[in-house]
Amino acid sequence: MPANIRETKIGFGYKTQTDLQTANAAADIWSLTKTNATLAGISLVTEDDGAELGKGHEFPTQIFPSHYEVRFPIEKYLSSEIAAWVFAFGLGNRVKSGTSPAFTYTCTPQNPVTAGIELPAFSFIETIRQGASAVLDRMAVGCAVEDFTISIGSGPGRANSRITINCIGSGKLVEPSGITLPAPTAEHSLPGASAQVTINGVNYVSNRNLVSLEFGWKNNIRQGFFPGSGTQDNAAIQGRLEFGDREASLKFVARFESGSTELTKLRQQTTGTAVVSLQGALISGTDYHSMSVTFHKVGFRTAVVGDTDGIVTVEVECRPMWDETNGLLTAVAKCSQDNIGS
Amino acid sequence: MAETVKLRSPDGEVREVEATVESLSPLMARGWVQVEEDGGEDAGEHS
Repeated sequence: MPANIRETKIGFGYKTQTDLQTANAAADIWSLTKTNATLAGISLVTEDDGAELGKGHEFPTQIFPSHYEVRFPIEKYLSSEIAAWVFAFGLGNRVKSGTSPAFTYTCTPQNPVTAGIELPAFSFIETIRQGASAVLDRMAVGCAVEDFTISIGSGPGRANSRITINCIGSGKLVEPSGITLPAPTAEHSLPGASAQVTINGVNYVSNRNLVSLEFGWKNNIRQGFFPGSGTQDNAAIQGRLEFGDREASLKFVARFESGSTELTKLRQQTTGTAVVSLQGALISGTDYHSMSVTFHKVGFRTAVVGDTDGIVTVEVECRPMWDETNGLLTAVAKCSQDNIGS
Repeated sequence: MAETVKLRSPDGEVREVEATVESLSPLMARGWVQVEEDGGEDAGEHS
């Protein structure tokens, strides 16, 4: 029977794998929703002998398995749960505080000197009609966050607070997955309308000028094929997922009016902090589902005046920089899920 | 009063600090990692 793409379910480890080749235990998997229809890109890359001499012609006579490539995007409306997860797995260093039902995850980029350059790994499960009539039931073991982007826009609805996560897998696969996906975790939205944004000394919420904002992180994961990295189906898989030259990004569009300081700050290369916060529903007491990212030192790389829907605006690309005291950035998320990134 | 967490420095020093961005950021940037109550190192920083 044909399957509707909306029957797709995904689940992934909210705890880290013990090592790249050991899958998460079933109890450490959670199931979240997503908005993109794209299925995981799991490719067995092959090569042939067409270019080899000795056959008497230029045509291939054999195909050889080369290696597995696993890449998958997760696009979602932003929630406190996915924010906590992506900060822990994407940045690599996290401190958990709080007690049930409110846990706070404070995350920073992994320190390569003390923690190495290998990113925390998780297992990713993708199913359609899991069970006896499964269309898809597969698990990619040893996956890591390549990059993530959080976007806040103008207008009503959840679509104005979104996250896109791109992940890379080692290539190790288990099919069928052997793990029954749990019921979807109840997520708690972080609407764009709740945003608090202060960048380089300007509170863009109190002056009501912010139009949109986007920040992100990219690990530039190094290719992990090496002698002894492992095989599956006689094809190579990656034996490590290590970050390369990491990059943080922050850009925004704001209304530009008399007294706006963006162009002046660009010319003078003024630096300051940037703090972006979102808040959702009450957890208990004074604890709310929330996230906040602090860039400890930013300057303006570009500032271009234009228009958005007929209103004069300035599009600013910030350059996050290393602060000698506080480092590059600190990302905090608060939610009710325990042990994220443990 | 803010909640506290225990962190361990790369040199092994253990310090109890407030679980705030202001307190944690300078230490985490220098490789301090969380220590669980039983004294074991938390899995918070992957290695």
